[in-house]
Amino acid sequence: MLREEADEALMIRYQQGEVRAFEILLERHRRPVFNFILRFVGSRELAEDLLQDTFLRVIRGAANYKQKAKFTTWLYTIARNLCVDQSRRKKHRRHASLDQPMSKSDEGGTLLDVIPGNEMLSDRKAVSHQLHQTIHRAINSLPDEQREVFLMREFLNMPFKQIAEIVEMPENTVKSRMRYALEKLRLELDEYKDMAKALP
Amino acid sequence: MPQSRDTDESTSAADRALLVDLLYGELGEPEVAHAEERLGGDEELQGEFAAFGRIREMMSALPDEEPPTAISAKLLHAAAQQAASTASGPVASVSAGRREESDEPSGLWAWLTGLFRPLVMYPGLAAATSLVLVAGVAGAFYVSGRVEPAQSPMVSSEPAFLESGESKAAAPSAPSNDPEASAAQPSGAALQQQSGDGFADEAPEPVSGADSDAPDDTTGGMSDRRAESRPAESRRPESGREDSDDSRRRARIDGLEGDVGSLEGAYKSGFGGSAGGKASTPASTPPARSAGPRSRKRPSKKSGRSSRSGNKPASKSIDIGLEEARLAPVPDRSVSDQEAPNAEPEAAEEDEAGAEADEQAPAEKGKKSPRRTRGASQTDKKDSASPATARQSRLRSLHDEAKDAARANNCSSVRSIGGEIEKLDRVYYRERFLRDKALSRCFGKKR
Repeated sequence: MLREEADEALMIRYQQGEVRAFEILLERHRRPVFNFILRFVGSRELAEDLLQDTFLRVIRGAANYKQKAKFTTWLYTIARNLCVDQSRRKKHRRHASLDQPMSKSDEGGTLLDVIPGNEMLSDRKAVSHQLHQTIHRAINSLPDEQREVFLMREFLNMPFKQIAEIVEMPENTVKSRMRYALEKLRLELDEYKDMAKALP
Repeated sequence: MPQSRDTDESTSAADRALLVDLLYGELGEPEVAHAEERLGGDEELQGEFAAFGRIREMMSALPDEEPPTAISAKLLHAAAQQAASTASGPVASVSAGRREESDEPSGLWAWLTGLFRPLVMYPGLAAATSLVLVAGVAGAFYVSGRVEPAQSPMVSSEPAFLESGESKAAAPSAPSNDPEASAAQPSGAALQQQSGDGFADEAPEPVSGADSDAPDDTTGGMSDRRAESRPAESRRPESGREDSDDSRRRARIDGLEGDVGSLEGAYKSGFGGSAGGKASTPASTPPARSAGPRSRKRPSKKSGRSSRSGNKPASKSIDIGLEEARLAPVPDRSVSDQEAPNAEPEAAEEDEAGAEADEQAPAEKGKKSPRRTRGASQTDKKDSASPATARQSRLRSLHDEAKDAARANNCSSVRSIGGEIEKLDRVYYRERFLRDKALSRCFGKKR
């Protein structure tokens, strides 16, 4: 079964012409890659474009793929590089999105808040939305080098060693960046810890 | 102290790293035990570790978002294309939405498909290519077609000019010139009928069409003019029919001018002048460009008057009108027509006199000279074989006259003759007459 094969084996299969192998790879990784990109660039529209670009590069590079490195390392290297390039092109990483705060000063104000809804939001949902907004804002406040490490480790569960390969930095440097990211987030989110505890 | 500080910092850094490793489970069992022991001895580290744990819990609460399915479709399509191209040959660049290349034909067909593939893939390019092709073909047809149409109008116009010019020349010149010409020319007979004078002897210049119509009053202005001019010119030939070249030339010029004037008047009057009426009017169209003050070149108004200057700008219209007149019946002649021939003899007289009335308005000239020697100019043109040939000969003769006048320092005559030539053939006038060095000094003068 193709679905049970490893990413590297699927990539080899696709390299040999099996499109189904690539389809499985796409099913496995399109969502986490998308969320990584989305949380990095902060814009859904941009994230969609970068997601497509990422996998197109995978397709184009399939012929030259060698199994000496993990597929995810290669995949997220591509995604990360695209995100970094995008971040450098734009001065302002933050783009208006529905669950992003409209302004830094407005802690609770988001596009969701101003869009009239058909039903009253429950307290739970309201708290949840607020928490999510806060978390996103906190992540966006991180420097790029800390954010990418944090996102890879926290959301992709990628080892520091692999992260070091992706960002092309020593592992200790990666761990330090991670530590700094956690400390910054701790300062940003410490006041919401009780709120987070209240949510299931 | 600094050393202890460094030690503390390094220990702190090591502890932080340990904390992160411990937090994310990247420590082996021995390392985990060490880390837990370390944490147990440091409350600050414990607090920090706990805080990091809460952060992770909060992050875990963030929902993942689903990417759009359209992207997956595009990517799968691109992957299929890539796989097909890889299977068939070298890896080709692929992007989402490109066509599949697995069924690519071979040989000539493949070459053709490859040639037109960009057009198919880029409709805009195909549209632009089509436009260029259509424009190119249309331009080629246009250019090739331009040559022929450009010639015909000139050819067709010249005969009309020639005819009209000849008719004009014929009228004034006939009387003073060859009787044989008149005999050879039906116009002479027509004039004869119209005028009843000795115009028969002074057959008009070869403008057979007009001439032939004259007797039947169908030529309109032309024959009428001729008829008009003839009476006047008949007097002139009688008086000016001399054997000298100068007088003959002048008569011819006068005749031309008068003819033009009469024709103009006939045209204006709708070619209604009657031959008979014409005959009774000795005064032919005053050649505004009478031999003397022949200022035909001067842009003149188109008037029924014969004034040569008036004929000049109206020459074309007159020619056209004459052509029509030649074909259409001429009901009656107007007063203007009658006046026209009068003008020519008058102008002729002025030419002879060498007056500077040439510079004046044609109307004045028309009034002055009673008659012109059209006959001379008419008889000069003997060639009735074809209107074009006759006109050419007429042009040459006028040109010679102008040269003679220039040699005699009679620039007014030169200009008048030029006006006649212009009426006959504008191209000739521009290309040869005006460029004649022998006549250049006259054109440099103020008219």
